[in-house]
Amino acid sequence: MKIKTPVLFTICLLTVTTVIAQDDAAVLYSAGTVYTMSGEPISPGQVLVENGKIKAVDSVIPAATRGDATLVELGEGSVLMPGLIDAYTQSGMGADSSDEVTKEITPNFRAARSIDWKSTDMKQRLHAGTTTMCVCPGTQNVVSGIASIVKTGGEQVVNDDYALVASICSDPTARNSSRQRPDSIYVRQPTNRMGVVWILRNSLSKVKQGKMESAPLAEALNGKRPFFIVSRVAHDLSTAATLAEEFDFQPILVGGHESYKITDLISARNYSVILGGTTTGSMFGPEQTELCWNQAGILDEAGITFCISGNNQLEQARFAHRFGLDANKALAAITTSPAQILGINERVGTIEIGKDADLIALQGDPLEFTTAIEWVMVDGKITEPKNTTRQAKGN
Amino acid sequence: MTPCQKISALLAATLLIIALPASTQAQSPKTQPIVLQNATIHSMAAAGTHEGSILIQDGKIQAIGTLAEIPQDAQVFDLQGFTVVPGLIDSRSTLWLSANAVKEKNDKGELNVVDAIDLWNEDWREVAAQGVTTVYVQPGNPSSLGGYGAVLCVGPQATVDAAILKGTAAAQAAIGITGKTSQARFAQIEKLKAGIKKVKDALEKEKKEAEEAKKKAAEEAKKKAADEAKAKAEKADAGDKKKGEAASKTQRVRTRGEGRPESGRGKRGRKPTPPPAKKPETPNDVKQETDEEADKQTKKETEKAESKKPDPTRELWEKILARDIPLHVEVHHSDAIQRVLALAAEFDIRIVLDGVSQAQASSAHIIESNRPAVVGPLWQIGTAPAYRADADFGWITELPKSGNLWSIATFSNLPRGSRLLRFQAAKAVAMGVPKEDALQAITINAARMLGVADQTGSIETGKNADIAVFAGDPLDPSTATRMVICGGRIIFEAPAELNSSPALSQPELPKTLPTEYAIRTNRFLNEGQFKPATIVVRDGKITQITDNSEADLQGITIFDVKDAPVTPGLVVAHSHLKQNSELTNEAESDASHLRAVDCADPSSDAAKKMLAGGFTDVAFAPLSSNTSAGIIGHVKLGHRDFVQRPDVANKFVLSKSGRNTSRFPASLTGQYQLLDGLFAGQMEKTPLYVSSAVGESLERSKRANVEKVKSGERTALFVADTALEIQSALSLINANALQAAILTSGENVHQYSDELAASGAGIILQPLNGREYDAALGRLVQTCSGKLRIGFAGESPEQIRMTAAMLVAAGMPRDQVLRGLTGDAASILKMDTAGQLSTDDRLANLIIWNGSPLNPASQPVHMVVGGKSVQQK
Repeated sequence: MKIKTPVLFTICLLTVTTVIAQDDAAVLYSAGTVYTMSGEPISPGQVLVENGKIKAVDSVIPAATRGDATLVELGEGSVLMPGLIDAYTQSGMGADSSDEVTKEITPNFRAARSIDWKSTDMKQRLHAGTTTMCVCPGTQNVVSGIASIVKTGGEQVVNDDYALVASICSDPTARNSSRQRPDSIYVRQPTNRMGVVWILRNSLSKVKQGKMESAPLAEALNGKRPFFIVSRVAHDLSTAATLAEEFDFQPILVGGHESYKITDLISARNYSVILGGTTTGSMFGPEQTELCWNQAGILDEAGITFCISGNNQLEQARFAHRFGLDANKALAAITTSPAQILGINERVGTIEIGKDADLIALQGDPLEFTTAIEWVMVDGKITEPKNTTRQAKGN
Repeated sequence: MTPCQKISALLAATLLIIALPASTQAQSPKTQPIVLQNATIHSMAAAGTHEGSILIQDGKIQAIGTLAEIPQDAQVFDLQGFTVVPGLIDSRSTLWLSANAVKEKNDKGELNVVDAIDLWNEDWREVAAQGVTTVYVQPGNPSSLGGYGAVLCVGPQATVDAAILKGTAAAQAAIGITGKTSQARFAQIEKLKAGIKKVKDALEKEKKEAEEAKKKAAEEAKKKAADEAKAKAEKADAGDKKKGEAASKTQRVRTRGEGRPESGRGKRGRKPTPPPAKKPETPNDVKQETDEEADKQTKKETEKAESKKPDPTRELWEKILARDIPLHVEVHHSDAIQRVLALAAEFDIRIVLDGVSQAQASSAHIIESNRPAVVGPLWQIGTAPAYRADADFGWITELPKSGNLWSIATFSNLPRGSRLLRFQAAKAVAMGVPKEDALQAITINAARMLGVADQTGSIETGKNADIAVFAGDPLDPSTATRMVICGGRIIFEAPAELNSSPALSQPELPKTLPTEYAIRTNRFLNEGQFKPATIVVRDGKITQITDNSEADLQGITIFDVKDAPVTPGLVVAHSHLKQNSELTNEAESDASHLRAVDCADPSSDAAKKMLAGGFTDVAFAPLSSNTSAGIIGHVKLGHRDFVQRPDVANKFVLSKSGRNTSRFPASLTGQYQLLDGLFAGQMEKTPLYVSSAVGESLERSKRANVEKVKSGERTALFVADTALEIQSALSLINANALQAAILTSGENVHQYSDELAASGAGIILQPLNGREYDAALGRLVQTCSGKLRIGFAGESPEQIRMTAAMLVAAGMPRDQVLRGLTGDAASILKMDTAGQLSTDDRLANLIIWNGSPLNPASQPVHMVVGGKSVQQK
């Protein structure tokens, strides 16, 4: 076995290189296990990819379906799973171009405008297995603009007119405390959390009463557009719930580092939560939130729809599993669950016939911390991360 | 010899034996021989310029000329047609010094620049790529008396020691860097003088004392000898005993009498000579004398302790007074120059004048004094510091005739600044210094100045193999570097092709021209190509342009300028002509309706210099502080109606300079939003307090202006530097089908060259200046050559021509760059009457050069501007 593995790798690499050259042709990938995320894992399993879409998935695909597809053996112990989906990120946004700090609300701003497709950031996300991301404007404004759903490989926008993002947290107040220069943004509102809520409530009620015209805000209020609310501390999350009740909308809570404290409220209202990163190993998260390493497990037990967002999603799912979340739920939290929250589950999130060929190939159990990503496929196109991880593994 | 001495001597010998091979190895590594074949060699030595080959081995030049035999293992380079010169020497550099080290201030001469060398810095690569192999670094000029400088070799160095060609090469001083008045400079020189005088006096006093002590010792020895002799005599002559005693007594009394004034001085003086042996007369006297003795003892002890403490200032001055090292005095103003010269004469020390940027009034004194001078920077890159704001180097043309030792240096504050040394030399040539002298000033003469002429500076057998090879004229910075060797190691090599501007040729034109004449040239610039042509000028107006088949030129005086190029007036594709303060107002981020030409001042210094540099057509633009910055106009310099067209383009800023946290927009998203709205007809409300009527009228005006951009009547000029900004600009250009241009630093254009070419947008390059661009420049040239139209932005002709020359040196086709200076720039910005010779009376612009405009060493010698002849000096 030990002698065989490097040979297998070499074969793998060789075949992969040839595949890259002809990405529209049908290719049959044969793996140790296929996590379809739409049912039990298939072991061993085969996935047929053609024209950037999944043509078939089964333990053995019949020759009739297979046609003259090239066969790629991924080897013993290999795993295929759907590409990861990040429901909230600022990756790929130009560093100094994502926050329009001079205005309190900028509901018309589109994150799609600031995406730097050639940034290292974008490449790193792709290499870490994330194939679809919801890129959101920053949190320096109370209402910061419109999020975009994009694919990380290739310059492809899935939806550039997606959710409206608002913040109920301390971020919009961060720069506004000084009163020294009356001509600068430093006297811009809001200057504290009460101000944040006031501005949001004021804007929403003006829109509701027809005193202010803002299509994105109106759509968010009447449920035609998803409404992301970035809140991390428990009392901010409760405030978001209060506002939601007041104006009768259904928010998607983003961050939610202390959502485990108010699971009753969240599950009663049936809000979805996009969890921010928690693998810090520190006691406190952003805004001094008290972290609970099993927060994902607690949300799951409470029956709340949630997903895990942030950099290195696979690591985060592993982390969540280690501290209590069920293995299948941990994988779902970075694939099917975000797809469902973003409303793109018809297209991505599982390995099913007709869906986008967004796959990751791994050499082992995805939730094992030492398992490396072999390659990442977006719409049938393969990208190989730098081979550093494999070298570190000693193969 | 004691056994102990024997052992130590043996040890020392062993150590020497061990150390010797090691040190020789470090200095001249056994390397593969290098042979440079069939090159044109500017030896800078007695051999002059000749064709031949060079054999390099063990870090030295082993043979020059026709090589009898080429070593079998040699690395052979056939350099047919290439020019070989000694490695260039920047006699004032900051290579390998950190910004902090350059700024470090010391007034006591306590620094040694060697301590600040950071070999991890990779800037040497860019310096080497321009043919520079040796640099002199010293403490920065904020120090009035900084310390020691060192001569360094360029190249990858393992240790600081290996990098040093000569340590403690000179001492550094600076006058007039801080303090703007002549009084301040006077005070600084007085301080310097006081320092040197103190050390000189102390040295003289010590010398005197030493002499006195010696004299006294001799006297005492003499006396002792005499006493001994006397004693012998007494012994021998026992009979005369009494008489002898009496005699000796009188003598003793007399001695004491002589000693008295001496001991009196001892009481006042600092270092009394001990009085001669005495016989106490009264008890009182005895006590006094013992007290005095005790006092002297303590004084002596403290003095001893003081002299043991190191005094770097004194050590430095001692070295200078002993003429071991020269003092490099950076001095710019005439008054200070004269005082420094006087100071050097007074103390008889070696000085080198550095900088010397405003020596008009004292140039004769410098030449007369025969003191060496390092002049520069002749080519001011970026804004000049206050102390040389009024630089005028006109006097340096006197230097070559005078026989004074002088060199040219970059005086850059950036470690990579030395790479522009060739531009400095080219400027000297443009100012009228003969080429041979300019080349000497950056090779052999610089080596002599720094005291390393025995090792480098010329191509002679036995010298260090410091050699630069150029694909043509070394003093033309648009010539690519083929290879550079330092200490026998190849530190730069590129597959450069032979490519150089044609030689400079001084056209012969009379001082006054007749009313009607024709100029015949072999090199008339048209569409980026030089072709023969004859241009007829009547009453300062161009009436006819023909090829050289003299059809109907009878009766017209023809001046044949032969190879001197004739061009239309050159075009600047973006400039503020240094009117920055008039052209900016950050308050209103949408200033689509404001016209730059409304505040154009054609009589400003910047405009005059631009015109004198051969640039007649300027796209005069508002500053980049607003997202919609305003309207760019076409200005024709030197013409009575200088505003040729007030609105050739609108300027839109996506770069950082348009962001402002005091008002909207503060982000690229905001900038995009604003411009997207603008093109869609949704205006951002003005933040100014105006009545609604005025607000509406403003909005109408802005909308009308943007409509003209959308219809293609005006160019849309986008300022974009980062990849994301260029991407945003492209998105706006494509969405609105704009006729566009991108004003950029050029660092990220290579990522989008295909998309830009597809959209038809032109590229306007910001001046390259001191930024780190060499790698970016290479990428730009690779991706954009022959594909995109380019133009040049800049505030002075030097900036623009430097950028153009760097592009050519990096490999961009000459015709593309020449078009960028003329027709392409004009077409990008819709400046219809620019960049071409026109027979339209009012617009006649014609420049006769003494060399290609791409060679910074050339300059316009005769111009016809706006129908008037202008003779350059």
